[in-house]
Amino acid sequence: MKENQINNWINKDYLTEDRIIKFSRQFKDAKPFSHIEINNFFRAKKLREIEIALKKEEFFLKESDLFKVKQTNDLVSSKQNVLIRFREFLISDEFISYMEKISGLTLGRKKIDLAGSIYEDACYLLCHDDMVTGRKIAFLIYLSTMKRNDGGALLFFDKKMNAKVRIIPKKNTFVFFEVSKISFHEVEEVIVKKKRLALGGWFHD
Amino acid sequence: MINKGYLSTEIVEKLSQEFYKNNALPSVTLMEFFERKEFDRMISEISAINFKVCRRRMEFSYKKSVLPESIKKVISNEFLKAYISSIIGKKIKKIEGEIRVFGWKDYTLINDKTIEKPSVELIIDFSVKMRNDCGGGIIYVDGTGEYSEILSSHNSITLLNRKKGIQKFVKYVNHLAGKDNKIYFIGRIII
Repeated sequence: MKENQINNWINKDYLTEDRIIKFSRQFKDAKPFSHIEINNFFRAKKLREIEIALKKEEFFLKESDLFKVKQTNDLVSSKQNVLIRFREFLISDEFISYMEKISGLTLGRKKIDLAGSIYEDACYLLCHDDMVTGRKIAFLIYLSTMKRNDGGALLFFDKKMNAKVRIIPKKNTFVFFEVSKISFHEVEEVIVKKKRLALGGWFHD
Repeated sequence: MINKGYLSTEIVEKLSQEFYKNNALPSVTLMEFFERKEFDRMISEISAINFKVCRRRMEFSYKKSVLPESIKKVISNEFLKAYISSIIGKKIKKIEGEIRVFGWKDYTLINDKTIEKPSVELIIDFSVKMRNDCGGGIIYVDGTGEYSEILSSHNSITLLNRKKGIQKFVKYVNHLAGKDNKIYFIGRIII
């Protein structure tokens, strides 16, 4: 079996045609814009390896008017085999096809952005739409679990800027949404001494 | 009105030199600027104001109010205008602006909708002491990644010539601020 085959990486329950159709419907019908949150997405052993490797990467504090967060460089530059293989998997034809089936969007096979992030006490990402030329899908893979009152939740807003969805980070949850001029979202400030570790990035056209 | 320590010709000359030292962002901050009695009068009026919440999530979040009488009097005071003129080297027609209060979860962002034209600015800081890691500082950026945070504090004024390409934002106030606020008069000096 090839290393990068999808069933080596993803919970096998999520690979059936029925399940993919269900995910696709969920993604399309989601409000305030197309998105989906899938729990227990990756195979537990793989996720553990990824988490251990990510924690060995260097994180840099980045601050602007919009955010305060610790981030790795794009993992295209990682020297760790686990992360190199994981990135290769995410950009493999098999996984991109899987994402296309769920999202109904056509995605490129040549480019992916992927970086690790840590939101710790008083880190935040204010509301924005992610609109940058070429971005089609934004995604997050949570590698830690937060409680309801810890902060660090992902909020989705409607056009009137009312929060409509609040996703509380849960380890091994895969969240993705279509990037568009209405994909208004933010990461709530973390208000406890806890680290919200995640991988995130974008699929492109 | 003004702390007497700032009034000698020698000091004014030094402040003017300081103001023009940074060509990209001419600025100077004067700590403990107003005489205590004058400043306390302004603080007392500010604390009685019912501030109005202003929020456009993609642009800003803060509370603001029209100017209380004591502050109107101060910024239209001819002596103050002449004093500032002698530092920035330009004759002042008037000063206009508003009081903005930044508490937990407040901020301003720089985006296409909030681009400000160049201007000479006056910032008066009415905040009680708030730790630096709480946010709420006023930061000037030039679009290339270079930034300067003004080092204002309770009873300071900052004079700043914001040239073309320079924009400012108020850093998000985080939960470490508790119930403390940053309170600024943010004004434009019309020359």
